[in-house]
Amino acid sequence: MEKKLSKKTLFKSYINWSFFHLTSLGFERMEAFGFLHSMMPIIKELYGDDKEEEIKALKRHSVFYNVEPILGTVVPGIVAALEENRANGAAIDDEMINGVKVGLMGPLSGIGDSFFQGLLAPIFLSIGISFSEGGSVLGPLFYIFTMFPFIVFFSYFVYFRGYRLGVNSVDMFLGKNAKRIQEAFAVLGLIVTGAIGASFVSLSLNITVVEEVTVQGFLDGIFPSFLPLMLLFVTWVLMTKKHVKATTLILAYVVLAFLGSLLGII
Amino acid sequence: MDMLQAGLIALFSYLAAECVPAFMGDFGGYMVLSKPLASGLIVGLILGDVQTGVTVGAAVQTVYLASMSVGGAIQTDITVVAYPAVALGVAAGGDASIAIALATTLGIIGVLIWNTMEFVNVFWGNLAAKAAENGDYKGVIRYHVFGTQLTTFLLRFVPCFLVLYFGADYVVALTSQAPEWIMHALEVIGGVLPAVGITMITTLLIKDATYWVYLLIGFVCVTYFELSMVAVAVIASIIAVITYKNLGRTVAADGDEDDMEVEF
Repeated sequence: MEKKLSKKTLFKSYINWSFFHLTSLGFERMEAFGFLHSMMPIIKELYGDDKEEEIKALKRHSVFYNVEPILGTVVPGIVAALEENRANGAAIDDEMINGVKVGLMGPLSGIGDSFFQGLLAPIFLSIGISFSEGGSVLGPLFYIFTMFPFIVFFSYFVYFRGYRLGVNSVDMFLGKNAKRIQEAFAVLGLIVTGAIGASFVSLSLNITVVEEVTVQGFLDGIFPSFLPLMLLFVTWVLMTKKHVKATTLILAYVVLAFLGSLLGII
Repeated sequence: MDMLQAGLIALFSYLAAECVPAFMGDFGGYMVLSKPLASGLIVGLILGDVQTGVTVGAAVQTVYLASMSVGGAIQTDITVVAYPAVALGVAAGGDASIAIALATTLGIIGVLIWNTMEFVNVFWGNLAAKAAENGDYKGVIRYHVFGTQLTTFLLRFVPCFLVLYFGADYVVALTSQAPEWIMHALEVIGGVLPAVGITMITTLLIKDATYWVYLLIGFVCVTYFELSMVAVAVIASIIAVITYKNLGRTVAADGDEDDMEVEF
């Protein structure tokens, strides 16, 4: 008889991943057991009547695994479909299932990390910060009630898309068209990042040339916020061209701020 | 800060952490409640001063706009920044620059906690793997969920509670006695450090120096035209759609060439 995963089992699998993906994050296997946890309802339903196959499946999913969790929700969906086909006798071996998992880790993490942590969160946070002026609760509430539902709906959507379309479902993120989407998001992200920089970076000089004529006043006359812009540019050059680590830079800026403040020039 | 308040804030610094399932781990913990903007509200509610909580949270958030956790490696434990550091800032009379200064130090201590956890979890992982080999579903859950959470709770709750319960008075005393140039330096740091966080975003997006023009668009929208963040987001979306459409033309042209190659 053809085995078909029930909607209830798939939903359980989604819930297990969405709550427990990082629960046992460790140096050796990273998210291995988060993934196994999401596979457990599926293994139970597909191989529950065959102890040998069941244990083989449990072992198959206890291996090293590490992916950006939100976009990575697509993978348990894809693997659920693969396991279903395998249980129905398709020629899918351990190597292929593991190959799909390993092959998706890198590309999905690259896109997931830059999209959620590097783009979406900063944009929504900046809007939230602008709403929280004067200590208004509107700011935090805006962030919580936009970001959280979005992540939950998005991850639910990609899980079931992964199950329905199998490996093809990642074409949306990794296929031909993906380059265009990434480029468009990079443009969106950079413009907003520029605005974030202008709003949150501040630096001014406290040097008076002659009475009433300050260096800062001169700079403001040419280009408002010229120093913050230069600071961003210098930081970018140091981090990308000179490969200075973020923690080193933070330390250096703290020391410089103290020196500058002690000398009274900033 | 009394014992109940310190306990509640320390509890949140556990619950909102990335490796804790309470708020769906990364989904609602790391991505939402571990953001200082959100924690400011919670800390404010616990300490009975929401307005100050949100103000401090928002100010600390500007420094950590792009705190990243990539592939299980972190540079700053944002949850430790979001709860103990923001709470001490509120306790010190709502001084955001104090919170930012403390955040840098506490965030690094947090990294130590994080690495200890990842190390301890190797032990739980091995037990879970053994359970899986025996087909023991309950055993997997016992180690992967309950075992790890026992140690993660101890690692996160205890240090936070101690810092809050015993440290708050020291922080308040220190800030009231600090010389003015130190307080000014802390303010300057609060304005300079966001540059590092923001650059971490741009390094992901800037492929060559010409991409700086996009950054400049956003920058002058705020400095010259004094637009709000929402307005800039709308303009940015419009330009992104135009870019997508323009790229479509060139991609389509390339596509024809690809088809020809296939024919060969």
